Amino acid sequence: MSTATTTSAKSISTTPLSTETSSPLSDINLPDQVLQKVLSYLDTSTLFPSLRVNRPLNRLASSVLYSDLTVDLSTGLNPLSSSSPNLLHTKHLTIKRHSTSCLSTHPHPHAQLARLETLTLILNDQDSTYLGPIFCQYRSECNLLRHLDPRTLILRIDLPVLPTSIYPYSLPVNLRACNGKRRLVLATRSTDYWSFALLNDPLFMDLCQSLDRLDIVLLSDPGQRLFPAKKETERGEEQADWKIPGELVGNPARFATECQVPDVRCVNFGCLVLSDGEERGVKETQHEVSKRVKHVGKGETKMNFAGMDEYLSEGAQGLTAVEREAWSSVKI
Amino acid sequence: MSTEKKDTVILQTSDEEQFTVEKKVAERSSLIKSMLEDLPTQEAIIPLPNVSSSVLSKVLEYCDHHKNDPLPPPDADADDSRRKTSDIGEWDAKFIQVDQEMLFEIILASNYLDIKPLLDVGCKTVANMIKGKTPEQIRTLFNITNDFTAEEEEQIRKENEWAEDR
Repeated sequence: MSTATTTSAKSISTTPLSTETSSPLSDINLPDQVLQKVLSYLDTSTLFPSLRVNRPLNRLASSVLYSDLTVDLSTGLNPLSSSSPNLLHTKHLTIKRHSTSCLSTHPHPHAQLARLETLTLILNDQDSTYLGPIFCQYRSECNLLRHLDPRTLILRIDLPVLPTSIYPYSLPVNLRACNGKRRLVLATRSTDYWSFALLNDPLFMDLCQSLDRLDIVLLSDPGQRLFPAKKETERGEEQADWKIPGELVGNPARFATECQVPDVRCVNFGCLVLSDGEERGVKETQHEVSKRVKHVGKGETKMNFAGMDEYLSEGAQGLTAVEREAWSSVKI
Repeated sequence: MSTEKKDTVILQTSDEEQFTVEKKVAERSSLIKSMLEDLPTQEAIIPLPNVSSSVLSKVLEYCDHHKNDPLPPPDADADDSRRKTSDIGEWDAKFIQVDQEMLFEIILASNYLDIKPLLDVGCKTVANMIKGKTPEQIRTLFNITNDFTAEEEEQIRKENEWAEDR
């Protein structure tokens, strides 16, 4: 490369393109934007160790972890239709009626750190967008579809929805190996149909094909209505609040019957109350389940959560300390 | 003014060294390309106050090698959020085998000069260095000070244990 001295040439001024601050990463004195690019080349499992390096890297790695799920609320519609390979599953996300749905992720306010924990679905209308594909996407992102090994994922989805009928939704999922068997515990505290829409999701069912055992733990509060759409269509007053298409309302019994998991256990800790007030949910569920499905719940109506501790205690036997802690955190 | 003269540009580094380079090579930098478009005369010196001569020399080596490559689209990053680190070309891999200080200088320069392919190569190389390392190894590699307390670090470890390779 030759050098030249050109005294007659006109000099022009330049300013740096980027004015972002550099991360105080000692020798890595790169702008945040560049470091984020570096981190974006790491897959999820190799990205996690960088969370523990120091605070700046933790912050950047967290933002990369969440980047695929960051949503531009201003667009108003399904943000998961992007071409990101991590979001392929979300093509199944269905938007119905005249609804507008947005997704946004937020790290747990107390955790400070990246935890694939809280997913918030904001519905601008009462629609039938369901969570199954999102749920599967999350696990795909975590490589858990490929690694059903002794790892534990606690996934919590909180759903503050609708200004007129806000209700919480929690879906902790415990994936772990139990004595060498691949086992998934799906614990739902459901006051609505959302979790059972998940059970209709073919992607979820596909995941379950690889399991040796599936526990569906129902934590319905006594007196709460589990399948509101099923009956409330007859009630004009309440219908407006629960426009739920019937095809999205699955139930654990049907799921247990259809899925190919060799050992499915439905554990009931709550009372399944249909919207007509008849407390017959548990019995009805048991009746529908095929013989290969083993019920370990007490199968009675109006149970309280006292049984949950017992179940969790039993379920935690033989686990490592870490697993036991994760297991116990299934408690909502 | 000769044709040859018009096809070269002069770049001046932070240490005031001047490089006369083929315009086609210099225009691998989007920054320089846009500056040249704004220049009233072809005889201007383009100052690059953020780039030293040793780094620019290396950057120009890259640009010269890739001068006939198609330019990446402006939004090349948009649909490429989770990329592979392994797809570094043979020549690029050899080119980027430099000491750590130079590697970061090249990354900074390519970011400043807006040379996306070179920035990609640099970032992929750093990502490959991080890959498979424990937090402590990453700190050692890049001389990073751990500003977490032991309790904080343990909490993070526990929270993310399920996701880390064992």
